[in-house]
Amino acid sequence: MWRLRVWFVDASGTVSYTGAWMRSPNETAIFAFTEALRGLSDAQITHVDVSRRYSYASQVPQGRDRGVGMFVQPAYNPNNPDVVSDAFPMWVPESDFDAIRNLWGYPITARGFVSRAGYDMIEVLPEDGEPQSLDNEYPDDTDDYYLIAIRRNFWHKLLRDARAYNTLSLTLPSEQARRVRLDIRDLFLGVPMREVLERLDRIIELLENGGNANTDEIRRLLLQIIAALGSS
Amino acid sequence: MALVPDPVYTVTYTFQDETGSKATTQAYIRQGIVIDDVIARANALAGALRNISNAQLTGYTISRGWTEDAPAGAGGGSRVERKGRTIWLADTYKTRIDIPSIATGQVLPDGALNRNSAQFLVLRAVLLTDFVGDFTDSRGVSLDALAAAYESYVRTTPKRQPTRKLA
Repeated sequence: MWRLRVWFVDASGTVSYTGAWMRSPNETAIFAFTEALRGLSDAQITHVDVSRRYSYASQVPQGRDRGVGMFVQPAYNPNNPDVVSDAFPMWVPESDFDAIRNLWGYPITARGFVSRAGYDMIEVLPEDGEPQSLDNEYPDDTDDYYLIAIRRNFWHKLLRDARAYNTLSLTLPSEQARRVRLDIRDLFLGVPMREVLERLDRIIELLENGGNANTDEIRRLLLQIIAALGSS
Repeated sequence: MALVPDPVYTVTYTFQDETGSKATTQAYIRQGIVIDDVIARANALAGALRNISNAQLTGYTISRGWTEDAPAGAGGGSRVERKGRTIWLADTYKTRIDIPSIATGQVLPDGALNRNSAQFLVLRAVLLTDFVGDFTDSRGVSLDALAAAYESYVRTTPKRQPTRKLA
């Protein structure tokens, strides 16, 4: 069954909702129900939503070593097709770059799915507008829709998910990576982030040297960061 | 003052890894297509996601929303804790629909709601006669009668208090 909720706010700012069960999300019936409630209540209706959960029979979980696959697909306003207006970002847990690239190779095209703002994703073409994973692919310097997507969708997750943070720091171009880190610093006001960031930069530098990375030094720097965060 | 639809259906997929940790990811489908197509697309993407993740895809939720574009503001003295509680029958089973901040003019001196007011008759018609089969109880059985309607009070839950605390 579909669950319909109508949200109210009263004169004090306290919110509440009332719900009804529906066989289908019939918009005409939803609007009629909402208008009927409007006539009976002296609170303000703010929004209405309807949802339904479908269970899915999937495989049992297998392993926990693949990280988070992520791609960002640019989206265009049909009225202004030359400008990237939005982005369609997507996490897939326990996935990886090759696998997530295959998502769009599956017999589902980008057609039918849109960005959060309702803009069209570009049709997937080889080497052009192809979904990219932040796991291990460097987007172009001009692809600011990455930042749009990150800020709009993943901020709260980034703050909680060190794995995702590391992914971003290691894969974004330096200018965008710096902006991401600056934003994180702002959000962590009160924490000695300058010190933390300097050490993160050093870690990134070491990791970028590939096989030459000094793991002892990385471990020492990480322990210092943990100590700095713990003391603030 | 009108309800403006969000431009998309939101599909939220839920995963669970072998540690029991849960994660979600979302995709969006344009409004304006029939719901069966939306469900079919959501289900097709679920199959694709299942194939590329080692986690278990436990399910997905399709949601759609509308936002009031020009809210006029709540009436003076309105309190959502004051409910108009309506109990409806669906083949003898009961289901409840509360009306937050029921207008005082709808409440009779004995605490019952005025079932014969024009506004209440509109609600009754919507649920029982105008859209037969659309409104159900949680089992999917159509509502078929009104069992009770009275004023009731509930406590304010902390999550729903205003961020601006009143002096």
